[in-house]
Amino acid sequence: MSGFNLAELLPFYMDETDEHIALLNDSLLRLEADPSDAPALQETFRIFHSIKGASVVMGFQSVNRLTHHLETLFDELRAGKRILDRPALNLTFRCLDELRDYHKDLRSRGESSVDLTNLVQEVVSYLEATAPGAHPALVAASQSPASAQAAEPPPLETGVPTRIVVVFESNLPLVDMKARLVLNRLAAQARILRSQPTVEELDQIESLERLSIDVVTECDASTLVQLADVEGAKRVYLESPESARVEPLATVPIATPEPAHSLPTPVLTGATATRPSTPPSEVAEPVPPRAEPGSTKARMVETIRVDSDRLDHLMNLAGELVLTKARFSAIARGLDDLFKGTHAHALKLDTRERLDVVSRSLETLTTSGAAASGGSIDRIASHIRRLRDQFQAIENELERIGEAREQLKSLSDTVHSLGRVSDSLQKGVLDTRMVPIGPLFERFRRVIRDLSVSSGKEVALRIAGEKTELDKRMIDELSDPLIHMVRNGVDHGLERPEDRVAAGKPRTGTISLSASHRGNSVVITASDDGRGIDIERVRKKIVANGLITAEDAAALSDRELTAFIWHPGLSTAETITDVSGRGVGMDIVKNRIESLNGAVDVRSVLGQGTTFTIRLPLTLAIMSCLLVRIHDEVYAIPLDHLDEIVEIRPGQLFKVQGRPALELRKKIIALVTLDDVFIWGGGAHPRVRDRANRANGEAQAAGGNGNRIVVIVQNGETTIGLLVDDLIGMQEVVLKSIERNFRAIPGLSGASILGDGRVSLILDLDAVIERAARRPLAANLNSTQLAASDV
Amino acid sequence: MKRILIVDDALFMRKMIGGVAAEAGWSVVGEAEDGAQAVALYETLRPDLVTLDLVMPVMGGLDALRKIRALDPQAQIVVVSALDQKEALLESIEGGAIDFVVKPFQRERVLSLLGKLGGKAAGA
Repeated sequence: MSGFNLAELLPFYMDETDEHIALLNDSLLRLEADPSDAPALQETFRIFHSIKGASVVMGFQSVNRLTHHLETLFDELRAGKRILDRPALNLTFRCLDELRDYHKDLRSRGESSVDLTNLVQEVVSYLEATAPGAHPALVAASQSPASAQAAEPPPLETGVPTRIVVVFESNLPLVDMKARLVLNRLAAQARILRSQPTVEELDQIESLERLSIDVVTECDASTLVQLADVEGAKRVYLESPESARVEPLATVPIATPEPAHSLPTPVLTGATATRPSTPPSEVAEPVPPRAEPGSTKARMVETIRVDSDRLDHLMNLAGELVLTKARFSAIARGLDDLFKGTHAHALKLDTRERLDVVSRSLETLTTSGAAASGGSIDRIASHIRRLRDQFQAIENELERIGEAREQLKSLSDTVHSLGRVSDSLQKGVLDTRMVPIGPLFERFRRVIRDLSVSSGKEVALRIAGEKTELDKRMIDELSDPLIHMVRNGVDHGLERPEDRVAAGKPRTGTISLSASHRGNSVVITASDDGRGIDIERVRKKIVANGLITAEDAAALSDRELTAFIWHPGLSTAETITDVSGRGVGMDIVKNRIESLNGAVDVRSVLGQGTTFTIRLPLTLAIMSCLLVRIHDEVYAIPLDHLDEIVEIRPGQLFKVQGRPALELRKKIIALVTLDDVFIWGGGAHPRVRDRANRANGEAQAAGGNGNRIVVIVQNGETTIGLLVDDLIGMQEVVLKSIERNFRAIPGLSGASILGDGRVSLILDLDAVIERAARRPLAANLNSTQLAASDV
Repeated sequence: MKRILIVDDALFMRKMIGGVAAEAGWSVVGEAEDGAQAVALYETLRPDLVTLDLVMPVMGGLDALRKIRALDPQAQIVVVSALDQKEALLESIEGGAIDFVVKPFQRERVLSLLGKLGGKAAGA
């Protein structure tokens, strides 16, 4: 599978699981104080449920197994089917410790040598032995051997490591399971040091011919071979891992491009989708059998979790800085204008020359004595002298201005570099929070693949909008809900291939994930093209579960019934599968999304599929906007809603059912002005009233030729043309909340401060389009606005 | 002679596995149609090997596997699984199944499996 990179997900998984483990510790301590603490039971159940879901994605099967059984245990506890006794609590604590060790190892070394198998067995045995309603005789019979087996210590590590190689028949079905079987059978008698491929890698392997396992054991060779010799194994033999490591290339069998078997696979560095091939230089490097932490595995990049409030604060400061920079730029530009365009230097030289010429001429006149009135010449000469002195002073001043101009130039340079720094600072702060949703979507390739294999359904995943950036926290929080939705889609939505063909659908079902920015929100959809939600089954189920009377249920609309899927404890699934089907998923989904101030909606058409739509607020964001001028005010139009900008001739405008519209490439698009959407102080914008008072028909269009500028915008469903007075340009704007500073105004998603300190209002085009659609028919059709173009 | 218990809800499968087992020199000591029967029969018969279908009415294979393993931690159980039951198969492996065969299977596969297990049982 291309594009899937477990290494990218691992840090998410680690951080989340660490948190979960900490939370578990708290809730278990609470339960120790009061074993009947219902919220604590519920929380413990949910956390195990979450770890289980995450670990299956990462392919950590042993964690998945363990948490699955613990989830079952706490599911029964929270349902009151069991009582939390001391052994169960102790066992859970031990599981928690082991899980903590497992993940600690995983974090420091990139793999974990903690073996949870015995613990899984213990939990299973406990569940079996104490199953609610179990036959007492059976309990008594099963308890002793089960616990005896669990308590049996693993074989002592004596002797040298042995490598067991199993060669499987080619094209063996479920060969990965055979490999697991071999590992499992060996684990009972030997300590497994490593295998090639590893258990985690087995999940992604389509075919496998050779499995090599390094073990330490007391068993003799024939027992080992017998243990590994499962049905489907063509050949089983032993070799020494030592010899394999010294001459790694020599032991590669049958010229397959496999890496040296003794080398641990760099799980964290490479894409794990394909078997990583180790470069020859690394192969040649001698590697000790038990690698010291960090020596061969890539260490995980250390991450620090920071309170998001602090980031918000930084974000605000960076925003202010950018605005201050913009103001600096404006001032520098203004100064530049003041200082340039003078010919002062040339004028200065010319003036000095002329003054010199005049005074020389006067001297000639005086000495020749040609003039009769010498007194007047003397007077003129004294004026000239004065002029020369004064001009000297002016020259000095000019020189200082010249120097100031040089200073200004370096000021401009400095402002420019301040701009660069503040822009990257802002981007940097923003980047600490915003991440593309792509990696989150990508991890579903694996989920879909696994689900496809386990369910026997053919499933394709379609991803759109993976570049959509989202607050990191949102991404983290979205993971679980999306997994639930997708699993639900595959488990209960998609039909089996035969059924699909019979229903006239393509054999392969499709799960689609998409993300996009819409107005002030990010919209994420998860949909399937399966059978859709069976409304009648929901109706029966809610009545059967006693949520509502049959009478009331009969009166509910399809949409109201569909909404019941969010009800805790309601699941229309027939069987409980790995994650979905317990009736807990959907209410977790809803709660999680609502805790992010988001909303989730489901639409389903029987026989055609189900679509979940998650809307999340874009609490903080930089938006790329088109700045336009309308009524001498600057408005920002988010670029993601912008289709194009057109200049329309009066002939392209007309009315459809009394509403103005324009024709663009044979498409009719409703024409909207902001006056249709907003009311200024209880009426039309003052400027519009002004115009109405003046004589009608005054051509006030752009370019003076009667053409108007229309910005074509859409919300994914509806396209409208928004009439603007002038275009200003594109700009990245920092969204500031109007609601927090003033109050919420429908149609505006926020405000931003422009470089000159003025406020620009950011249009919420979703609301604008919706309000435009709702406007009363032929309401103040604004004769003045359209006078020039109305035909 | 090694003793085998065959658990499958389909008569055809029981007959087929039984035939192959006889061919491989095993003695079919019992047949069960569901998990509950399997557990009860195991307790009385204590066979050397159980072949266990995963999907059955009343009590599924996985539950039967756990119950039998709880009765006898040394129980030798081979799971019979369809290709799309990977989840359950994995659980059965971790629950102690010693091997599995994938349905639809060839006679030869079951034969070779029983051959291997016969040798193992003799050595154990």
